Amino acid sequence: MKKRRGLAVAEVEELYRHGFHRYLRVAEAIAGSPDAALDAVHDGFANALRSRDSFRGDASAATWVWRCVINAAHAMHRPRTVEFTNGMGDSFSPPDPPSTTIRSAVAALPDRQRTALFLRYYADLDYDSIGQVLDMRPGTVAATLNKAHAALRRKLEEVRT
Amino acid sequence: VTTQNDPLVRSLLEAEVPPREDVAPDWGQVLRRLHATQDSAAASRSRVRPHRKRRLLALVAATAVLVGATLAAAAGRGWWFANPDTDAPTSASDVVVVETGTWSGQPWTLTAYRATSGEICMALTPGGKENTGPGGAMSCARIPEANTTSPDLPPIAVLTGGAQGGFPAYAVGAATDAVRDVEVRLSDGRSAQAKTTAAPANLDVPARFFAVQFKCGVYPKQVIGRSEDGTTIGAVTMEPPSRSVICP
Repeated sequence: MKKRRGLAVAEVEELYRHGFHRYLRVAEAIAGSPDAALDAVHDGFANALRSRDSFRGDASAATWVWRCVINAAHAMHRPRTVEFTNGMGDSFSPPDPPSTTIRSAVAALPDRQRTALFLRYYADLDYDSIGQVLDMRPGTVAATLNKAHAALRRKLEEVRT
Repeated sequence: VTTQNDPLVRSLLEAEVPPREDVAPDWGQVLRRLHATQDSAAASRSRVRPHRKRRLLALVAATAVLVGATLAAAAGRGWWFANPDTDAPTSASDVVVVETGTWSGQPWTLTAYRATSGEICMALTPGGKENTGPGGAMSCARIPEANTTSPDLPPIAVLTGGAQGGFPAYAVGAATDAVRDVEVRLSDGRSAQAKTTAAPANLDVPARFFAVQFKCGVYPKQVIGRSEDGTTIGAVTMEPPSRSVICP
C-alpha cells in the first residue's frame, strides 16, 4: 500500500476541534498547570501544521498530532523555571512538591508509564492507539500500564498501613 | 490485546486533572502561533544565521550527551537533580557545594559536579538538599581550560532561573579560571555585579562560579567576565526569554 504524504490543514483542524478537551487534559497532566496545558496544545498543533508536509503516513494523523502535543507539553514542563540559557545544554527544573499521595505516586512513575497512564485515562485511548503514540507494541503498553497500576496500588497500601 | 480499565486508578486520576469543558477550542490561536514562529524564523534566518548555526550545533551536542544518561545515584544522592526523571548527565565526581547565600530572605545553595562528558554541571537550589520545590535550575556546559576566543566555546556559561514561589530571578554560571568578576547587564539598563568563587578542590575543574539575583521582569542581556585587573576576558550575549514571566 502506498503511504500518503503530507497532511491537509483541514484534517489537523478537525482533529483539534474533535479532541480539544482530551488534548488539553493530557497536556495539563504532563505540563502541570492549566495555563501551560493550553499553551502546549496550541504550540503542539502549530508544530503539527508547520511540519505537516513531512508527514509520511507511517502512523495515523491522530498519532502524529498526539506526539506533537505531548512533546509541546513536555517542553512546557521542563523550562518552567528557566527562561533561557547561554553556552549551556538543556536545563532542568525540580518538580513541584507533591501535594497529594496519588500525585506523588504518579510523579514517581517512569516517564513512559506516566504518559501511557495519561493517554489511557485522560484521553481514553486504547492500547493500539497508545502504542502508536509511544512507539510500543500493544502488549508492551499492557505491561507498562500494569506496572503503573501496581505501583499506584502499592503506594495506596503503604498509606493505608 | 484487550484494552483494560482499572476503575480504582481511573477514579484516583479523575480528581487530579479534572476535565475543563469550560475552555473552548480556539483554532485562531494555533494559526497565530504558527505564523508568529514562521515570521520569527524568517527574521532570524536573515539576521543571525551564523549564531543560529552555532546554537543548533550546541543543542545537538547537548542532546547527544543527555540521551540515556542518568546521574550516578551514589554521587548525587539527595539532590533534586539526581532524580532519574531529570535525565541529568552522568556524574564523574561528587556533587559539591560551591557557594551558599540568601536572597530575599531565602537561603540558596549552588552545587556543581563534573560530568563524564567533560562538562561542568551546576545547579542552584533554593534552600538545601532537602528542597524539591520550585525555583531551582540546573544545566551543564563545557568550559575551556584556558582563555579562548572560540565562539563555540565561550569562557562563560550562564544559566537563569527563579522568579517563582517567592524566590527571586537569578543568573548563575561558570567561567574560566581567569574570570574574577562578572557584570550582568540587564534589560532595564542596570547591571548586577558578582565576584567569582573558585571551584572546590575535590571538583577538580579549572573553573570559577558566580551567582547574581535580579528583579523579576527584567532579563540579562549580556554577561561580561573580567580578570582581577579589570581586563575583559570574554562576554556572552543572551537572548530574550521565549516566554514572559509572571511576576508576583
